[in-house]
Amino acid sequence: MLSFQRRLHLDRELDLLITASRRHLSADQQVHAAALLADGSDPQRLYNLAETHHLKMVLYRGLIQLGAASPLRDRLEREAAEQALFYEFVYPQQLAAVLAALDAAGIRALILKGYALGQAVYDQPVLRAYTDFDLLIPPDQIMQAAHILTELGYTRDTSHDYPPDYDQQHHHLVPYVHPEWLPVELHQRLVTPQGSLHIDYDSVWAQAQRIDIDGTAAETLSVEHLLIYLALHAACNHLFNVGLRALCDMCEVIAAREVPWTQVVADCRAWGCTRQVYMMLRIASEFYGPIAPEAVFAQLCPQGIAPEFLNYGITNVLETTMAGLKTSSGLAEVWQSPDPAQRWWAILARFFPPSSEVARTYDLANTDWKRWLYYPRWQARLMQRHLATGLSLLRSDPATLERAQQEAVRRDLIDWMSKA
Amino acid sequence: MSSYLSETLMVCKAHTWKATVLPDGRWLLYNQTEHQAITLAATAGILWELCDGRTPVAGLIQQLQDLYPKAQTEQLKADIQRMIHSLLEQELVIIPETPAS
Repeated sequence: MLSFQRRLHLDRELDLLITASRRHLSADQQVHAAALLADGSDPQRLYNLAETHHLKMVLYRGLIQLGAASPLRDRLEREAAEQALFYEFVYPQQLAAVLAALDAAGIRALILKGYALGQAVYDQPVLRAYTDFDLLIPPDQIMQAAHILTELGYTRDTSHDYPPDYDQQHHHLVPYVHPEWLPVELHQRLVTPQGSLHIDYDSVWAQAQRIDIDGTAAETLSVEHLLIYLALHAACNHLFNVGLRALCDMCEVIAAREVPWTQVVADCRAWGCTRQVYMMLRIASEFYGPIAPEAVFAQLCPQGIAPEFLNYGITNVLETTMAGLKTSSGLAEVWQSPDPAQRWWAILARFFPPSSEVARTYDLANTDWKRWLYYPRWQARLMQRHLATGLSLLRSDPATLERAQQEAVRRDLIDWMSKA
Repeated sequence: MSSYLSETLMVCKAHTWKATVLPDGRWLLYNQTEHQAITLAATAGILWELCDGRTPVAGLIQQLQDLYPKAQTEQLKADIQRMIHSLLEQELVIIPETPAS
C-alpha cells in the first residue's frame, strides 16, 4: 500500500495510522485499513502512536470513515468532546483576545500553523492539535507586541535556559507564557536565516488571507506561502523531526485548497528554498502517495535527491528525533574516513588547534601568552564532551557507528539544502 | 412524560451557547459565560440549530422530516417533543416573549 514499505519496515499500527489519517479514504485504502484493524493490531500502540504524532483526532476521523466499531474508537469518541471544547472554543477565545489587543495597538499579526490550519485547512479546529499560538509580527513592531502580551498577563518563559541572544539569533522571541492561556511565540521571521534562503516578507504580508477567529477578523498565510512555510519549518527549524502531523498538514493543504503550483515553484526559486520544499513534498509522498504533480518535483529539483537524504528525513519524521550525533558532530564526521591515520590526524588537530582559536574561545588577545596555559582546559573540555562517544566508536559499537553515519548524512543534508 | 408542546410554539437558541459539530456528527455546545459544555446527539444538535425563534414546532418537525424522510412521522413528532423539552430543561433554548425578527 505504501510506496516505501519495501525500504522501511512499517508495523501494522503505523501503517494503519498513516492510512487512516488521510482526509478521504479510497475504497482500496478502506479495505486495507479494515484488514489491518481486523488482523490483530494493538489498539494501545495505535493510540500511543497517534498521540506521539499529534494525530489522535485525525485517527478518530479515519476510524469514523471506516465505520468499524472498536474500543479505541469509543475511547477517542470520549476524548473528542473534551478536545473540541479547547480547540473550538477556549483556545480561539484566547487567541482572539491576543489578536484584538495587538490590533488595538496597531500591530499586524499573521497566524502561523495551529488554529489557522485547523480552521482554514482541516475545516475543524479539533483535528489540528497545537500547544501554542505562533504569530508572525513585523520586526519593527515585535517588542511592542511583546509589551502588549505582558499587559495581558503573559511573561517571558523562564522554564528553559535560553541564551541571552536568543531573541536576536532565533526566528522567534523566547516564548511568552500565561497562567491560564496557551503560550504565544512571536515570530519575527518564518525560519532562522540560513544558507541561500531569502524570504520575500513583503509578498508574505501582501498576500496574507483573511480568517475569522471567534468573530474576530485575523490574517494567515496565503496557500502558496503556507505550503512553503510548512516545508521550511520542517526542514530548516527541525530537520524533519516533526512527526507525521507535519506531513498530514501538507496533505491537508493540498487536498483542501487549490494550490497554485506555478506560483509555489516561482516563490521557491525566488526565496532559494527549492530543495527544502522538494524534500518535504518527497517525504510526504513516500508516506501518502504522490501529493504534488510530477512536473512540480522536476521543476523544484531536476537532479532528484540522494537516497540517504530521503531515508534520513523519513527516519526523523518517524522517530520524531534528529538522528545523528549532534554533540559530537565533528568526531562523527572524521570517523567516516576509511583511513585510520586520517582519523587520528584529525582528532589530534582538534586537540591542538591553532592558538588563535584557543584565544578566541577564552576571550584572550591573539598575542596573549596566557593562551598557551588554556590548552589543558581546552583538551579537558573535549574529553568531557566526546570521551564516551569516542570510546564507543573505538569499540565499534554498532549503535554509535550508525549514529555517526547518520550524523555525517545530517551535515551533508544541511549543506545540500543550504545551496538550493 | 413531559406535557405536550403546542405546535405553534416558537423556541429560540439561548445566545450564551455556541456550537460546533464533532467529527462523529455529535454537537458540542459551550456556554461562554458559565464555562459549561454539553454534547448533543446529531439530531438534537440539528434541532437546536433550527430553533431560530421564528419557526414554530410544526415547522421544526417538517424540516426534520425533510432531513430524515424515512422516519415515521408520529415517532418523529414524539422524539422532537421530547428533545425540545430536554433542550428547554437544560436552558439551551428559550421561549421568546415575542417572535424573533
